[in-house]
Amino acid sequence: MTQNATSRRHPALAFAIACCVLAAQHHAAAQFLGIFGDKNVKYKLFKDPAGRFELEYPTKDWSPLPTGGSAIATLARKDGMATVVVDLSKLTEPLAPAEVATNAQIELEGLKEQQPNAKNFASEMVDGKAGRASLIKYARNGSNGPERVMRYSVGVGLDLYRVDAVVQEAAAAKYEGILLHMLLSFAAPASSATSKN
Amino acid sequence: MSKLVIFRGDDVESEIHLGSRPVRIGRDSRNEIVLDDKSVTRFHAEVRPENGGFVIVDMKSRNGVWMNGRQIKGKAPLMLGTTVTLGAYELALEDDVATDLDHDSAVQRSAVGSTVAAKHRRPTSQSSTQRWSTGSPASDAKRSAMFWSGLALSTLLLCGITYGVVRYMFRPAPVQEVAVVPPTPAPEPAPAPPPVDPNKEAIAQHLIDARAAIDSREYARAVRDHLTPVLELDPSNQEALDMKRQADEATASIAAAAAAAKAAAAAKEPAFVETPGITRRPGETQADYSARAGRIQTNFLEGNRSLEKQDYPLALARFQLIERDQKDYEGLEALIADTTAKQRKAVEEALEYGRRAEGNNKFADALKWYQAALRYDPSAAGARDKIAALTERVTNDGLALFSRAEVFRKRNLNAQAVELYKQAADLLPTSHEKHREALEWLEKLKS
Repeated sequence: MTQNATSRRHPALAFAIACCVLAAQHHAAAQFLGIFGDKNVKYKLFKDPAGRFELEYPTKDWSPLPTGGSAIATLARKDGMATVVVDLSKLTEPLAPAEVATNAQIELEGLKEQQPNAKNFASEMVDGKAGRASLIKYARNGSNGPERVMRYSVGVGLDLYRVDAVVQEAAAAKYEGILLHMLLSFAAPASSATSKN
Repeated sequence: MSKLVIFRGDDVESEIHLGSRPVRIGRDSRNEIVLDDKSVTRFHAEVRPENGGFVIVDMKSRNGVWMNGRQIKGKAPLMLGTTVTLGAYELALEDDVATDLDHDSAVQRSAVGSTVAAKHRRPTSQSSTQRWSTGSPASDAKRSAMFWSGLALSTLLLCGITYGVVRYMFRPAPVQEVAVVPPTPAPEPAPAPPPVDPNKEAIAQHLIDARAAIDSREYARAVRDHLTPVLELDPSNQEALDMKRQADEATASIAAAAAAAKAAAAAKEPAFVETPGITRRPGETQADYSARAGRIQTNFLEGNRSLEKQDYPLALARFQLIERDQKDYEGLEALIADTTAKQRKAVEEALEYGRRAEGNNKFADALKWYQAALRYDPSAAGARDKIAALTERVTNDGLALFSRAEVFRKRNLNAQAVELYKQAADLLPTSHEKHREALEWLEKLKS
C-alpha cells in the first residue's frame, strides 16, 4: 500500500521538478531580456530586397541605409548611436552542427587578429530564428569613441551571415537590448531552403 | 643276428640290426633310433651288447622303461620275445629271420600267416619271434605226421586269426598313445601302460618349453615360466635342475659380460672437466654439463651486451636463465640487482623527459620518451598510462585541428585549411578515419 503510494508519488514529483526547472529557465531568460530589452519598443520587419534574409528593427528612429562592399544591409539609428550591418559570405559546404562552435572560435580568433586593440571579448552560443549561432561581444575604440560590438554569426546552408551590432559605449545600456532583439530575430529562410538542396 | 623292432600300436615304427655298438633310443635326433613322441625322453634308453646278449639301460628317462609290466631299474637283460615298453612304443628283440630263414621256412611262415608283412605289421603270434628251425632229414611218416599236425595247427591258427580279425574290426576305437597290443599268446598278458600322471605331463611339457627357451637364449623365461614350476612339482627333477643350472650360468655370464662392457665404456669416457664457477649436478653427464656450461656462458655474454644497449628486459631474461642453470654464478645476484636498479632509473628518467616534452606541447617527443620508458620496462604501468593518456590527448587535439581545417575549407580559406589538415594528420593515429580524410583533403587542396 505504502509502496504503491510512493511509486505514484514519483512521477508527480518528477513533473513538479521539471516545471520548476522550466520556470527558472524562463525566468532567467526573461530577466536577461529585461536587462537589455525594452517592452515599449515596437519593431517592424526588414526584408532583404533579394529575399535572402529578414530581421526586426525598431519602428521609431531606425531606418535602412544604402549598403556597400560586402555588406548586404545596414540599419541605423538616426542619431548614429547604434548601427546594425549584415554581411554575407559563401561557404563551399554547409557547416555541420558540430562545426558551429568551431566556426565561432574561428570568428573570435579572426576578430582578435583583425582588431588587436579590441578587448573584453566574450563568446557564447545562442539559438535564434536562423538556428544555432555564435554571439561574440567585445569593446573597441571607434571613430566616435569607445563602443560595444555584438557579432552574430550564423551559417545557413551555403551562406555564412555575420550581423554586427555596434553601439556607443555611452548608450550601450539603453540600446543593447534592442540590438540583441534585432540579432535574434534574424532569419534566412530562403538560404535555409537552398542549403537543404 | 638280432634286430630290435620298435612298434607303435600295430605298426612297426623302426627296426635296427644290433651289433657290437650300443643303440640309443630317444626323441633326440642324435639317437640311433629316434622316437618323436612326447612320451619319450630325449635320451630314453640304450640297448647295448653284454655277455653275448643284450641289455636295455634306462637313461634316467622320464617315463621309464617297462619290461613285462615292471619298470626296470638301471638295466635289464633283453631277451628274445620280451616286450619292452618305452612311452607309447614297444620294443622287441628278434632274430633277424629274414636273413636266417631259408626260402622254405619263409614260405612256411607265410603259409601259417605269422608275419605276412614282417617289416610292416606287428607279429600276431609268438611264432614270428621265435627261432625257426632250418629243417633236418626225417622219415615220411614223421613228415606226414608233422604235416598233418602242422595243418591242424595252421587251421586252428587260421581260426584264431579269423576270430582276431573279426574282433579287431568290431573293436572300439583304439587309443593311439597307449595302443599296446599284448602279444598273443603270451606267457603273461601285456602289462597295462603306466598310469599317466598329470604332473608328469605338465613337467614334460615345461621341460620341453624350457629347453626351447634356453635354445633361444631366453634364460630368464625358461627359469621363471618353466623350470621353477617343474621344480616346485618335482624338486629332484634332474633334467630341470640341469637346465636351471645351465640357464643360471648363462644368465650370470651375460650379466658379467654386460658389466664388463659397461666398465670398458666407462674406462673409455674421458675425465670430467669442470668450468670454474659451474658446479656439476649429481648424475650429470659430461655432455649435459658441457651444454649447461655453454648456455651459461652465452647468456652471460649476451646479457651484458643487452645491458650495454639498455635493453634491460632482455638482459634480465638472460641473467634469469643463468640463475636457472647455476644459482650462484659469478656474482649473478648482484648483477641482476644492478640491472634492475639501472632499469628503474632509466624508466624514471624517460618518464620525466616525456613529462617535460608534453609540457612544451612536444607531443611526439613526449610519446617517444614514454615509449622508451615502456621499452626499458614493459611492466612499467606509469609509462603505459602516460602513453594512453597522451595518445588520447593527441587524438583529441588532432580531431579538433581536423574540425578547424574543415571549417576553414568550407569558408574557402584553403591555405589555413591545408596547414591544419597537416597538423591533424600528424597527430591522429594512422589507423584513425580522420587521419585518412585529412590526407585526402591535403591532396585535393594542393592540386
